[in-house]
Amino acid sequence: MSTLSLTTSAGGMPSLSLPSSVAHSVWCAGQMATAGVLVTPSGWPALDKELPNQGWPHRGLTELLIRQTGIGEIRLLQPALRRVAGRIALLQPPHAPQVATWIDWGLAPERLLWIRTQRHADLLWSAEQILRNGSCGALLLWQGSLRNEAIRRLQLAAQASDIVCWLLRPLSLADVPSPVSLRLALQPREQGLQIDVLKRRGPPCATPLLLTWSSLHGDRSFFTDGHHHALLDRRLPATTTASSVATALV
Amino acid sequence: MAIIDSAQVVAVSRLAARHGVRPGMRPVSAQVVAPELILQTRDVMRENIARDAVAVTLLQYTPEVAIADADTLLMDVSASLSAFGGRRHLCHRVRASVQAMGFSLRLGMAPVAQAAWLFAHQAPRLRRAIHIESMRRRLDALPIELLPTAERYASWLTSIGCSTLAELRRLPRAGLKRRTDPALQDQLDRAYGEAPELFEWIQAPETFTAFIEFAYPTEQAGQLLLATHRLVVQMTGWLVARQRAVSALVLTLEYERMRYRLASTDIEITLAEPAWKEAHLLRLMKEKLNQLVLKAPVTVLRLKASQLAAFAPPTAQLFPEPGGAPADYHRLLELLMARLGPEAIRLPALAADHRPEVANQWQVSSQAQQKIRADTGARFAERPFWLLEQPLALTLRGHRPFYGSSLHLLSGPERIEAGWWDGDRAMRDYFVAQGEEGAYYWIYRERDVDQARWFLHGLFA
Repeated sequence: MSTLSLTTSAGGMPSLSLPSSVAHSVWCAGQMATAGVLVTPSGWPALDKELPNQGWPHRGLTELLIRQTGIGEIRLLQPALRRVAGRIALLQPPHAPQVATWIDWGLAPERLLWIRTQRHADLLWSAEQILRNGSCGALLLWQGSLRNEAIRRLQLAAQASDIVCWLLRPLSLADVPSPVSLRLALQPREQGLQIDVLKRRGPPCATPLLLTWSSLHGDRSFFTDGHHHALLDRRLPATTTASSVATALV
Repeated sequence: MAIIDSAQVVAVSRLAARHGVRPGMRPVSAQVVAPELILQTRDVMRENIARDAVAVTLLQYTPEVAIADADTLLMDVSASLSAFGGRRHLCHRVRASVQAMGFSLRLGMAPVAQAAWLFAHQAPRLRRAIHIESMRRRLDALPIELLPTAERYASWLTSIGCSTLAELRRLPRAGLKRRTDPALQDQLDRAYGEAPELFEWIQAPETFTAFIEFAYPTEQAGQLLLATHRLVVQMTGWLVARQRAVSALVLTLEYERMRYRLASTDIEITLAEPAWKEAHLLRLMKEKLNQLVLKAPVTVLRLKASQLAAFAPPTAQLFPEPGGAPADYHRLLELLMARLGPEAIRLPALAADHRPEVANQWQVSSQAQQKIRADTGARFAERPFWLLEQPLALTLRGHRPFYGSSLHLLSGPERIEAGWWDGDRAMRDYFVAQGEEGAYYWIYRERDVDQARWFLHGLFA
């Protein structure tokens, strides 16, 4: 028979000492959950601080609500994808992923797996099979119209597997309750990404997080160099085929 | 249901037994007892086919399976006991395999085949004896009628006060041999392990084809699946016996020929990696069957192993690999392909071309996987992660390309001029542009036309 004891620590905060088997699943509302689960560090120190266990959870679904496709959502996940072992399955992505970018990021192209499904039921089935099989390291799933039962089912499957699983949905669904344990809203900013933590196992996150692309280590691109101050617009280049125009003027 | 043979009920189903039908009844009286009884004439040929199918299935537990008589199979499992985790586990697995094929069985286990035969015939409950002494003790108590050769002399032997095997053994040997069948004494000796036994072990056939003929044409998925399971179990036995793995198999559904005049449907399953595991094969078939639309009720289901490979035992690793074994990944691909079709699964296959839409090739996973030359040193120019499959024409607003908002050009141009050799010419200047809300776009302007036409080709994710 195990006992619970409530003691008062020096700071005046009551601290609960629990049997070690359940300690990780109970936490105070003001604290961040420290479940004994595996995480993959996101590669963004500022973001890691705001995530329970300092990283993307291996067990459980993470919901990313994005304003539109192409705001830097994969760039955000790129450091984590680099750390994850095994293949990365892209399930129903909105556009064709470009392999050249992937190689440019220093990731092996053999690790990509692109799955396209025709029907909604097939999509959920495929996601569940990938999670259950466990031979992939990460799963990215794009689907806007999911019923809560389906998400709950995915969440349970993700909890049973050791796969980092992201569900990408439009930002308009931010007000709709969702059973996933970690929800982030992503919005594009001038040189980075604004992240609102909508839901996590921990205290609510009041201030949005701002990540700038220049903090991404080892990245060399127009994102990071050049326009650090104000955006200097370039003139539109003149049309080069002007020969016919000249004759028209005569 | 009851089976009749030469105007006598020989076997009854459980439901029929509950209604009072007993073996030995005449068909007429059986129908009086249970008016809804279905009478079926015994078909010895089909019984033999079924017995042979079970024998092939059981080859997965031992290479030594022999046919003892019409409905009894003998297996020499002395070498298999430790491989299958002891006699109890082995019995469970044998029972499960046979039941998966839709048959019921009685098991007996003894160090001597004749004794095992007697145990199996003796009672519905399982009898196992491992040591020869305990086996003899149990044999002593058995009634003499169990011995097939003693049946004729049963009443005579009982009347002289000999009703068990122990009492039969106490009779003088010479007298017993003279007064009864000499085979009786031989059988008794063999059962007690005092005479040698000889068997003719069955050989697995060279190729595997098996079929199931339905008593009534069916269109129910559940029934087809059950039948498929039976065939797969049978094939597993055959594969293990021949030390083979299957890499392609064909499931054929035949329809009623006279009524529908339809050609049979072939479901071909090609495996990425040769397999012999029952569970995996069955799961693939299930997905294939779920997709199938039946043209008519099915009468015959036929399974054929069309391509075989050598059986490669799994190589175990000392430390588990992260992300599971490669075989798991192959299994996942097969499963996804079985349901979604081969076009749904794509793997990157980069082509050497400057046009992004040509360079960014994805191949169907069933094609032979070509190795991508991934030079870590080679860096590509800045490319967006998402590539639109059809470039999107952009409107101009105030001399600026417009997509949601006016786009500002950040870098470029990157001139791509290629494809004049294959008729799909591209003359483009690519720019990276940013919208007012902050997202980055990859747009291009066509160079070979008078009017500047802008297209959106990629999104920087």
